[in-house]
Amino acid sequence: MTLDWLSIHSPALVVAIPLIAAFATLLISKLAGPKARNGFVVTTLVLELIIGILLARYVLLKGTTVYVFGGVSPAATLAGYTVPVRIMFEVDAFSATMALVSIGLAFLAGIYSLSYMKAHTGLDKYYTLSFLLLAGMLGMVCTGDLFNFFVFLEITSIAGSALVAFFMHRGEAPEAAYKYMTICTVGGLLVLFATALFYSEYDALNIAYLASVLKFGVVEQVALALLLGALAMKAGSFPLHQWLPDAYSEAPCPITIMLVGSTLASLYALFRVCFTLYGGVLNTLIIGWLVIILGVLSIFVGVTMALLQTDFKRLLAYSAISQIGYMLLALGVGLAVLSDPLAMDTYGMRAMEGGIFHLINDATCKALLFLAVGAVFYATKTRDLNKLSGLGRNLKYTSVFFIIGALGLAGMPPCNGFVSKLIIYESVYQFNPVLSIIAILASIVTLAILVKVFYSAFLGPRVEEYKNIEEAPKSMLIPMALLAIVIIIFGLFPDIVLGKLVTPAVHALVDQLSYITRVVPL
Amino acid sequence: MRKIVASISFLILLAFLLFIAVKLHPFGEPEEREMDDYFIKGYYNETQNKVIGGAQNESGANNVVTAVVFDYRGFDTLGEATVLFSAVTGVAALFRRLRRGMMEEKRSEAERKEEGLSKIVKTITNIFYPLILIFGLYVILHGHLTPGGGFQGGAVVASAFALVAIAYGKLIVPKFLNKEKMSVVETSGLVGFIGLAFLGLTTTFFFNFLAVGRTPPLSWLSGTVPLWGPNPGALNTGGVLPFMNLAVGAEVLAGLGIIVLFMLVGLLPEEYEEQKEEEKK
Repeated sequence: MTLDWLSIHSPALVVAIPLIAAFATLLISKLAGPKARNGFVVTTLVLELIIGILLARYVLLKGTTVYVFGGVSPAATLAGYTVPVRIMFEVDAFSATMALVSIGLAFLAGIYSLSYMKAHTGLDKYYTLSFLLLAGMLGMVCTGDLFNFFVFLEITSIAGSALVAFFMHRGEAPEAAYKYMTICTVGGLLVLFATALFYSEYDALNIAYLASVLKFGVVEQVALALLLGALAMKAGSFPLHQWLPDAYSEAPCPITIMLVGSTLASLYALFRVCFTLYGGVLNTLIIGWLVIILGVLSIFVGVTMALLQTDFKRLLAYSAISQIGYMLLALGVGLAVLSDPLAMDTYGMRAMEGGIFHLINDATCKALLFLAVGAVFYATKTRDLNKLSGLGRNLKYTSVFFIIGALGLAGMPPCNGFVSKLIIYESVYQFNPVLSIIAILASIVTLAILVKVFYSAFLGPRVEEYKNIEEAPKSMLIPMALLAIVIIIFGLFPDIVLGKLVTPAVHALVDQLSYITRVVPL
Repeated sequence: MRKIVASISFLILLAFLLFIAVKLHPFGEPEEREMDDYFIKGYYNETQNKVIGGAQNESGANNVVTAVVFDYRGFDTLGEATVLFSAVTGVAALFRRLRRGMMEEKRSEAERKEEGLSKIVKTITNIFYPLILIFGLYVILHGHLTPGGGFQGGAVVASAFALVAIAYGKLIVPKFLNKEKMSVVETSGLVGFIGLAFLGLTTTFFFNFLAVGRTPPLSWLSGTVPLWGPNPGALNTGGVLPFMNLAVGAEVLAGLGIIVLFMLVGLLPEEYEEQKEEEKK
């Protein structure tokens, strides 16, 4: 009974809990002190994880779920009107997957922060902003309403840029935050303008309703260009990726992995716009190729720029851009052949499965790498690869975790990245062999870079300066261990995720009609 | 010459503003029926109240703007309040590290007394400060009866803070704005807002559980039927809307107050810290 009730209300609770936690964190740390605050943060994150799992379970059991805010019942989408008036969340399998990824990343970041951020002041604000960032990401992936999406995008942007600037004492942090803020504001305004265009054309903001009445005139083309530009920018895709290395490397490490979540949420929105909002009217071949080209260029630029970096986190940030490229490539192939059922059956769906599975894998591997770098930084206080050497002798666990993450990101066999990349190579090869070859080559370069980094930082002779450094505390090692276990398990038994989470997500993304009819009966 | 040009332009502006003031509609007019009709058009069940049927029945608000802001799209309002909250928390987080000794320049006691603008501005501020506060609080309190409410009223109150800060110089700000207390007011406002939304969970999140016809025993609280058309307005209508409105008002006035404080005083951390120590003594 209670479980049912929780499941039905889970789409609202999943966003409401981090919001109320964000508001309450400041109060609690004023009234009860830092220890109680830390306890509160951990309890809330555990609760949030439970709600997230309940939501995913409910969506996978019952199909796409809607939640009408303030309605007479959660499922009363129209309630007498012909146009949906109230704000609603529409959670399908893809949204649920994304929500799980975001919550997982935030959970690990929260545990990791307990020790990592201990020495800093202003932690009540730090946790408050982290909760806001989480709430923003979840709102972005769950919402079924364009203006509501913009609101959550703004929350993510502002909380994110404040957190990027959190290490104010380093001059680079405010600079990176300023860059991030500017990009986010421009992106947010583009989204708002597109929303206004839709509202002026159709008097509605609901994504499902808009998709059901959308025609492809000039206004819609302008809106599509605005949305694609803004979301590709926020996702860190090629031509506008410059903010990403700065923001990723200057943010505190736990925040970096949450920023990974927020870029993935933007990527989610990009595909939601292409597949669901415009799915019925778009010439998908052209837009699909556009996405593919952006993806391939991101792969190429990310990998080549990563080669040149000497800053540990900047290097990882550039390789993160190339991983975004893989997802764009895979889902772009799906988009390009969307209107061709035969091609869709033979390789289109497969490519999209690879893309979404890679999204999960990329989140785990990149999070593990950034957390490992955080452990290195915690011990040595530097991120300069030229200074680091022989750390493996002191940081035993961290070096093991780093190599697992690196193998995962580069796509080597025992890890999950191997499975998803193999699916992408196979299916993209059937679409266009050249693209697949570029992807494989970039993956090899990624491996080379990460192995080189591993060798120079963790192996090799011990440096006098870092002779007596100590391994990170347990609360930093446990999140890394959890991620490493997930990477290996997903690598050895990919079917537990592929069949249960990824395939339903792909079907939900492709099936525009059921997304629409859940809200507006045709 | 300059004086003549200035006085002529002043007179033109004055005439323009007076003209507008005379031409203003009386309160509550014109009745924007078209806007309300929008909600009724697709309403199949058009039997109870021909004039405002949809919005009044569903939210208990006496105008559609309030119904949209706090009921139909109350979740967006919460989101927007959260955007402001993120900005305030972000500003507070970024100013946290500034400590004693960051500014080299130190001012003498005599210079401090000279802070701020001329005596004329200070006198005018003395007169207007309470009026602006009252107006802002009025807008917040009547937010659910007039189109526009908590957000705007909170901003008006914060503008009074800014006025004092500019007229008397930034050093006075910490004396009448306490960062910690303002922060408590801000977060309590938001907790109250989302708490009201949680209370609707028996039906749905953000459900207006106190609205017309939903809670007979509690109807004295705010569940009476709102009047339609130009009228003085009864405060206890609109279900949870007035309470949400108050919560947003508290959040916005405290949030913007904190931003005013940080933007003006946060730049002079040394003097700010000194003042706080003086207060403790």
